[in-house]
Amino acid sequence: MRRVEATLRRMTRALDALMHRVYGWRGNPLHQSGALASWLLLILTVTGLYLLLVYRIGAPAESVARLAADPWLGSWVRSLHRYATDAFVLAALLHAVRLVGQAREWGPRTRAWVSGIFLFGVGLLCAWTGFVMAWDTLGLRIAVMGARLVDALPIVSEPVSRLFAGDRPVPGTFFFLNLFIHIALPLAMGTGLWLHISKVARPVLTPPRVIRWTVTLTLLGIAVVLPAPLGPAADLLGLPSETPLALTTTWWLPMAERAPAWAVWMTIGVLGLGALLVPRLARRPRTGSWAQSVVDPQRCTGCDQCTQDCPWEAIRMVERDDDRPTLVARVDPSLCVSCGICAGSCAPMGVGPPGRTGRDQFAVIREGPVSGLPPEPGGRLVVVACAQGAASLRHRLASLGAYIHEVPCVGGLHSSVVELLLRQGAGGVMVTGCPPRDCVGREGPKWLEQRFYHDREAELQARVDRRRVRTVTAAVGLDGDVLAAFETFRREIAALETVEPDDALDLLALCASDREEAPK
Amino acid sequence: MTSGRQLVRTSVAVVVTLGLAALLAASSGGAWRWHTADATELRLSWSMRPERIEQCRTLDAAELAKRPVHMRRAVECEGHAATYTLLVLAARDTLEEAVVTGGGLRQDRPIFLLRSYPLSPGARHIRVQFTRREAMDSASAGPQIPSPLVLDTTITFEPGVAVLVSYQDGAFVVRGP
Repeated sequence: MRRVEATLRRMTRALDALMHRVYGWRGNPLHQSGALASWLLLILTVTGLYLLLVYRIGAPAESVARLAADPWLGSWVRSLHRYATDAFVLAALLHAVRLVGQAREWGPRTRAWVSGIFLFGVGLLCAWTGFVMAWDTLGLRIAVMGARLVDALPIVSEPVSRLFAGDRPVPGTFFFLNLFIHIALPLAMGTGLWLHISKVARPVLTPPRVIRWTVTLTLLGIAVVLPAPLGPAADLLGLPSETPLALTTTWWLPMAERAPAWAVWMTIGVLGLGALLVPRLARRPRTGSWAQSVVDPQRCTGCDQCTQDCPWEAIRMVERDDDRPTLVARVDPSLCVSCGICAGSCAPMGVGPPGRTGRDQFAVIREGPVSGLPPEPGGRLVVVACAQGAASLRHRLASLGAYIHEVPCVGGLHSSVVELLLRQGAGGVMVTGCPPRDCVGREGPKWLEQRFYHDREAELQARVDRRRVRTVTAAVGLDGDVLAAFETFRREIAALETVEPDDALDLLALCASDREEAPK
Repeated sequence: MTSGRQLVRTSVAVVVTLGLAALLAASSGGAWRWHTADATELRLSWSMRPERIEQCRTLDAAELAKRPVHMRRAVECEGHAATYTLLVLAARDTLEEAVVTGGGLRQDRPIFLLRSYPLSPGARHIRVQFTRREAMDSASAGPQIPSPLVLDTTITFEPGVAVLVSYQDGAFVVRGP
């Protein structure tokens, strides 16, 4: 499984690098695969409602052919519906690949993974019933295949395949049932989507506006310019040599037609079971870097910030069992994904995964790597780099003279660590994080930005010279941008006065006490 | 970023977006091969309830006396569903010779028959014979399906069209071009 994850990670990074060069990291649609899939579901729902109004169960092929022949709205909406289906399948697949590549599919995320597989399967089923609704040659082909699969199961007395033998017209009840399933499945998907995001704080269901409308208008554009094909109306006694193509949803059809039904069912079963087993195969022992966060009740002031920052709603405030008047934070280990973001949210450093709390971060810096560095005009630069980013970038920054301090996620970086680095003599601290929508901790860069520049608890103190602090997004494939930002930062720092190490303040003690009263 | 670079980057983004959109459209733009261009087939499809074969006997007074009052019937029948032989010939080739039984565990549920035989186009002498395998005695309900049920005719098979043989009102019916 680790090999699969590594392969998918490499694949994802390569695709990301390509997309970053084309669209920049803000416009990379691959970071929005999940949100895009749900946005496409919305498009499918809206266009589907329109199609429902003009669809006739009594004359399915004729009603869809009339739509397709309408050069204006009908054709556009039908084609948009069709292309949005293709895009949904692709977005959902990319979403799954990304999550496996980032090892985000096991442990507390199992429910999201399993419901995601359910959503994908139901989405495909919905697409197939949609093709059958059109009742062209492709619809007939899918119906015949589906009937063959159903007939292989001991659940119906009269073989469904006989509906399409040609000795009688296909009954209207078949089209009614198909339409019913086509409408009922999206309702099931709504429930699935709720389950999918139920363990996530602040779920994002729509991509940023620019991506949202670019995707929508692009799909609409191809719907207008290249309307989705519609084959000839289904003829039960016809043996057409070809049917329209729908690569994303029916790629399996030619293979399945050549295989016995049991083999198709077995393949579906193996693939489904394999997908459902992924969280089990990918799980890690909950120790070391995968250990869940813990709360030190003695340090917890009951401020509630960690519960607000946790992207997985894994922390709750509960009654204390001592005589202090506040509540105390408690981590639910079954929900904690060990992202470590809580470590950066706690001013008194009372929460975080073992080895990654604010105090642990302090201990590393206190060993004094910065003070031992050769001097530079304005002071030596330290780059606090997210370990999820490209190692090659860290090497290049190091070769430029930066001291690299690697952290698992910048969202877990305690702001006082930056202050400590500066007090130890660093001329400047540049923090390089992942693109905000690509953070494995979901909200790391967002919280970092707010803690540094918008006074979010645990904020970077006002006494810290902001000219010496920089946050940069290190998107894969855009190393040049980061290196340029580093050079600019270095020039700016060189123009400042050289700082001397200052250990007059006991930051740990300050963090433990009320930070507002700390001396400037 | 200079406006020139920005323009180039935007242009590249637009071109790539259009390219991806074209790829998406192309994924629905082609055609899947389904049947061969000259495909034709003989298709058999019908449903019928298998006849019931019964052996009946008259119980004598002593036997009846042993039965509880509510089970005293003068004639007692035991039976099973009939089975059939399907023989399909195209010219002199045997396409199928098989035993056909009713559905269900006791094979007394309706027969749902659906078969298809790919053939090459052209006129061909077709014989479909559906014969009950068991004899029916006078005690049975009597034959409801002619046995043998025979279709013996020449059919012209045209490319891209199936010829259907179904059963209706005690006889085979041919549907096709």
